[in-house]
Amino acid sequence: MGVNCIHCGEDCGKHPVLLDDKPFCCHGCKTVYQILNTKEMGQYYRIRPMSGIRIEQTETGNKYAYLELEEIREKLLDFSDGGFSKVSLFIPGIHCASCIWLLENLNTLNPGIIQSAVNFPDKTVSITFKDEQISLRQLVELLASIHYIPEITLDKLDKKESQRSDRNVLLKIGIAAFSFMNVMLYNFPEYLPGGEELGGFFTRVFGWLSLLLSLPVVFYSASDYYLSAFKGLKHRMINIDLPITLGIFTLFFQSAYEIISGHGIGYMDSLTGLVFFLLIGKWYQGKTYQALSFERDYKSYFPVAVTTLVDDNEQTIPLSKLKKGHHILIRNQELIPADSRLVKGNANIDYSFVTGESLPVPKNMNDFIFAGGRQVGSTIELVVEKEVEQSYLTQLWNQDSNKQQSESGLNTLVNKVSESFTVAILFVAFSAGVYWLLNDSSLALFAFTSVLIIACPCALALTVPFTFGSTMRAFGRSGFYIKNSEVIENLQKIDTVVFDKTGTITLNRSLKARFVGEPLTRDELCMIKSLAASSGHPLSTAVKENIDCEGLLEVEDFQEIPAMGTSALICGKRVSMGSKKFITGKADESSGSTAVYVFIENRVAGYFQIENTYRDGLAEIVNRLQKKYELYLLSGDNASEKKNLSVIFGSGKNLFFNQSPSDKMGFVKKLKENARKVLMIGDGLNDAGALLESDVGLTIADDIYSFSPACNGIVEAGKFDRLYDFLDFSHLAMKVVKLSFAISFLYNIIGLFFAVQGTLSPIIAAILMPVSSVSVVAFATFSVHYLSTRKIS
Amino acid sequence: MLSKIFSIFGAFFLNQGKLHTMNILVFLIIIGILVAGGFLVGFIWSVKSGQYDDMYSPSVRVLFDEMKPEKKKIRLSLKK
Repeated sequence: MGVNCIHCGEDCGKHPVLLDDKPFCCHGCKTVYQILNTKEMGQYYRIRPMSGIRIEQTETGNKYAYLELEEIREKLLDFSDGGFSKVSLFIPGIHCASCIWLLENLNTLNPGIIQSAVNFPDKTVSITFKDEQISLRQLVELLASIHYIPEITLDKLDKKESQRSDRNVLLKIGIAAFSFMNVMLYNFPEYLPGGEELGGFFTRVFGWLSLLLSLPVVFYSASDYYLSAFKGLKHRMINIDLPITLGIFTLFFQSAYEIISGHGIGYMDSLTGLVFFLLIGKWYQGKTYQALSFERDYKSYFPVAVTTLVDDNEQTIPLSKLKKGHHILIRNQELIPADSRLVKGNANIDYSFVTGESLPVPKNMNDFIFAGGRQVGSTIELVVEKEVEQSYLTQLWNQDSNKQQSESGLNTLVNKVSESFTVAILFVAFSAGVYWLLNDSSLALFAFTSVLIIACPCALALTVPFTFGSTMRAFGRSGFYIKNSEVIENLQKIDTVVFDKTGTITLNRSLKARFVGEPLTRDELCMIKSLAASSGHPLSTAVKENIDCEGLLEVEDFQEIPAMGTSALICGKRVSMGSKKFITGKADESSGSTAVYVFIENRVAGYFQIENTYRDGLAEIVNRLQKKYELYLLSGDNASEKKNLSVIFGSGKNLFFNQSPSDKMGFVKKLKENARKVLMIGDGLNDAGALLESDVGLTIADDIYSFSPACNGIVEAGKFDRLYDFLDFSHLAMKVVKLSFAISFLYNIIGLFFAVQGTLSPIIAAILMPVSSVSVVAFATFSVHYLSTRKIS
Repeated sequence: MLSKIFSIFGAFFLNQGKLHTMNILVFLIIIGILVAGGFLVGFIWSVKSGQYDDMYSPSVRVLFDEMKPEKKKIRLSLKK
């Protein structure tokens, strides 16, 4: 899409960092480039102290004052001992080699920093520093000043366990691989003609060795499968892990019996190989996006600490200590953490993330203000009315959290297939057993166990991890990040798509202003732009950005009346801009739309109609989706956009406005009750309930690492127009799964052919099992890769 | 020294009578297990020490020049 970084060559995305008109992907690259320019070219990466770095004195003010609080410091630090402390900080901005270099050379910026190490996939940096030379607050401020702003949130403070599960899978794979290779070596003579002439001594030694080596595999590496099968049974469900468990145990006990009784060498090679392949599949599927968070709650949205006023003294306290009756100070762009009442200042609350209203709402003295809004403008003082846990927004989250149980994924295709599969296999095994019992009782038990062994659905169990794992990677490459592979299966069942408006199909902080009235002269336009540029109100910004005019004029006697408008003398002429009431004196009756009226010198010149800007390709994507899916739009905003949206959506009957967060949730619930499979696409907290309620909830994010409500997947904002392709691809992935199932069944039938006759030899098991697994895995991976290069990249 | 060891091995194989040519297998297996076990222990150590947690940055880090020696000193003193 965009330009490439002049330093590292990566895509700069939509907003490159510019220096002398050269584009950079991040401030890290820019900084390194600056060093490069001030020094000789040859000294790249060899510059001793980072002399070239300009630490920008950004105005952090008291933003990080809370880091000096002992209880927050304690929670944040990994350890602190003898004057040294270690802290791990999540920095979403880490994204290229320059970032790693800069962050790992922090010690040249401040001697108090001893060591810093970046974990790239986690996007964290762990820093060891001397307490007496640099405090945690100074450290964070230093990072912020070089544009690596750490994200410190409440939920990160509360839970601190690292992703050990990833390591556990690796350990299990390592042990299984070790046993598999060795056991295969011991069984190798059996694979060759004449192997049985090896002699009883070696058969016994090899047998016992393989029994020994298979113990850690059976009791450690494969333990997750037993647990999962057991859990399934507890819920009265037969999942894919049950036949696997059956297979593993039959293999193990049959082989152990053969070895101990001296009958033979058993099937330990097949057993260890089976577990090894299964674990590889699990690992492949489990490699998700570590740095992305799909499970956020209000804790990661709210600030860690708030500024309170105690006897006119500012004091920072942790959010958990905030009580009813506290006076709190909220500065520009800060979040209101609890439901409270306005006591001082001009409140202008941006609720776009909470309710979907695109414009800030002005509040009057003593008005009740819901938590979650963001103050725009000057500092305000509030009295807390309800504690954080009891605020409206928090309640909305909490009522949802118990809903998540329902999506435990027991209805997946694999489990449905394996249910009938297990029943069928048990039936075949028993019939074979009974048949041989009547004809040749010595073979009965062997035939029975052979069926269970050969039917162990290794290939079947590998199909889904590899197909969906590859699909997830393909999606990830195209800017669509999903939580886990179940989402793919749910995606292809979707028949209804519900959109949110603000931030989802409209661009977040970009409004269109269309002038209505007699055409203005160039000078007049410049005057309006100059006035608009003097105010920070979003509407002023919208007007400013939509007027094309070079240079600003001098503004005198500037006045801004909250909730009304602005006024100033420009070139000796009085120019005013604001609400209809402010400019014309008449009350604004049209509740639907937003307009900024303009007054120049002595007349009302007209007004700017404020409209949302829609994402690129919206009309096209809606058009394509409409052919296959039923579309709805739920907006928390007013109906001012209905006309525009009706054109895009074909008609206005599926467009709903003024929807509260619980309305949205109820709407999705009702759709589901009518047996619709719902895909909800939203972006803010106001969609959180609906996202959880839907079958698949996706959020659109400009920055995928920034806060987004709990969801099943995150779509990069720029890839919004590919949505149809993503949905389409999920169908293809499902077809690949079904084909792979067919292939693995074919192998099973061949195996069963031998098993029911009681002629299954270790060699047939040893050949059939890996061949079926490898061919299924290869088919799944290659076909998904091939399809993805054609369809979605 | 080396020849002495070999002669001990040789004596072992020659004195075992009928199976002597196959006894080499027992040694091979023991050596095989030991070697593979050594790698397994190494792998377990590498996983536990977190070497697989981040597969990207080491590939970049190796390209950075060594920092000045002062840093190394500090690192050493930290370990103590």
